[in-house]
Amino acid sequence: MNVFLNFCKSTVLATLIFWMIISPKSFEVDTFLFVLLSMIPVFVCCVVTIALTIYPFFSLFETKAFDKKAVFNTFFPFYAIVAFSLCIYVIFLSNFEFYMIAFFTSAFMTTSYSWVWFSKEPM
Amino acid sequence: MKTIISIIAALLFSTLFYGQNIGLNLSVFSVITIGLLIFQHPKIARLKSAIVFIVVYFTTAIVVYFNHSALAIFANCVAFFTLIGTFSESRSSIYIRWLNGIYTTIAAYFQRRSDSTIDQEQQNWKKNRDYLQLAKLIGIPLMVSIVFILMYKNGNPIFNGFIEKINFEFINFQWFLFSLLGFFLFNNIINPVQIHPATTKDLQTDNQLHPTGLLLLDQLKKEQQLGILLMALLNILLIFYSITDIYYLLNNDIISASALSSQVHSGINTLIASIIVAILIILYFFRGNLNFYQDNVLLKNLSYTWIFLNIGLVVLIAIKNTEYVVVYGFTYKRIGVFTYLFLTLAGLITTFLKVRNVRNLWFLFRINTQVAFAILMVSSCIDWDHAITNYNLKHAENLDLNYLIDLTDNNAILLQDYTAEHRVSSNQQQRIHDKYIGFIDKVSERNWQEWTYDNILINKKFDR
Repeated sequence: MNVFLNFCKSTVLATLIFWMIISPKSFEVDTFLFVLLSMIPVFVCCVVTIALTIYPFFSLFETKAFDKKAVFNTFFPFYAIVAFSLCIYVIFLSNFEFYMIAFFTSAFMTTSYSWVWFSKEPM
Repeated sequence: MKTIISIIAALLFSTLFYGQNIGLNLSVFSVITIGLLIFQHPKIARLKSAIVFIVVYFTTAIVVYFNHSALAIFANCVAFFTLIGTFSESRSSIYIRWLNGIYTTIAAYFQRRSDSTIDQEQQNWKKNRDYLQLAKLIGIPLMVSIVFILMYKNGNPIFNGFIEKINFEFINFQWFLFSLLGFFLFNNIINPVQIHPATTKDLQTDNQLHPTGLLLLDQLKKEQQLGILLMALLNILLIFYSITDIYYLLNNDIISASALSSQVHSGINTLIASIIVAILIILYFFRGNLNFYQDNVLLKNLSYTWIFLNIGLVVLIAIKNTEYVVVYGFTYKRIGVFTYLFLTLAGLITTFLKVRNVRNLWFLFRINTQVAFAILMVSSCIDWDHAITNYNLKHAENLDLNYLIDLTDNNAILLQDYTAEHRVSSNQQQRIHDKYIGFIDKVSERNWQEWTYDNILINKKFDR
């Protein structure tokens, strides 16, 4: 499995979504530099989250009889429901704070896409 | 076609919800959702279970407009997930429908992305595409341009002024993102998906219990002996407890709120422990082959007695709670006790049915989740704040007006009318007046998306 490519794609996607959401509030031309710099912490977040919460499902459960598609179909629905509930809960706790909404929206979308990318990789 | 429908629905979604509170918009959204589902899946919409949940969802949509309570909004959301789950798989249990409904709403897009297969032509086209070159073509010029713009900005004040003037404020980007969210949502619910392992397993599992392996008579006899002894002891204990409770109820004229409250709550705690133990013990003994053992009649009868004694306990606590309500009026906690008692009664009756008709554990889950769903839907139809206030003002022997003032604004008109006809303390009168004025202001400032039935009432009252 090409885990590193998954990390990179997730980083780009998470950065894009996060900045797209917050850009109307704080986007100026100077901010471009911050967008590029923000990719470093976003990359770290992506690596930690994907390596700890998504990759183990594929590395532990994938066999010849139980392929990536089956792993996705079995575990992703519950992962998505739990992740979504946690994101909503934290957003609610933060009293719908704008940056928290941006962060957790990008987190949910990115982790979901990461599952899709893993499931579509060849054996 | 589906994309166009999703785009139109997304635009409606942002028109209804962007920057608005919940009100008429949720009712309209529900109607749009029902319309889209019927339009997209006419075959499923004709099924009996789909019709039932369409009616339920539509009812909750109307209730949101009339009641505008948190419970009504919650019930509407639950009905929404149930309906979507029904369109995912109409034969599944209600809790699987909830799971499918939630999953469809939040992640159907990703499921479809994973399911989609790319044909050979697309695959070749993808292979032939040079991603690195594409990234270079877009990324490098973009990054270099930005760095140079930042440098030139500091070097030339006219150029700096020009760059500063560029702003994209004319585009409401957040509205666009909100519409995107609407598109994502409608795109998901138009094509419902299933959680495959859970749905398949649910469809394969019936409600009937089947014998597992050979009936080992000696082992079953020993198990039955233990069961009879245990159930007999528990029955005697519960009979003794119920007699003392009835005696206490008949011979004590308790009027203090704290004493009544403590009686009801200790009764509830006893009931909770008793019911949980009762159901667990019954489920343990009737988990397998003991159901098919010929000499299990005594154990079954003892179990039925235990269930009926527990129903008696429910009735006793209901009487205590009613006494409490007659004297001090309704509160949410007291209504909660009645709800709990009703759920308990349903749990006991379904356990009785499970034993009598040799059903499995799934039967209990299925039927009890349906009961819980039905109770939620029915209770959401009542405007509790209004009902509590109305009852307490008219019937409660000891009125706690401060409690009523602390409820939501749904009772503001009732309280204001009450102060016009009755004497209340100046402090309470002021608080009621403030609440009423606040309510009128809040209702008057609403946009059409946020309208509720209160708007009509207020307009009528002030003859607008």
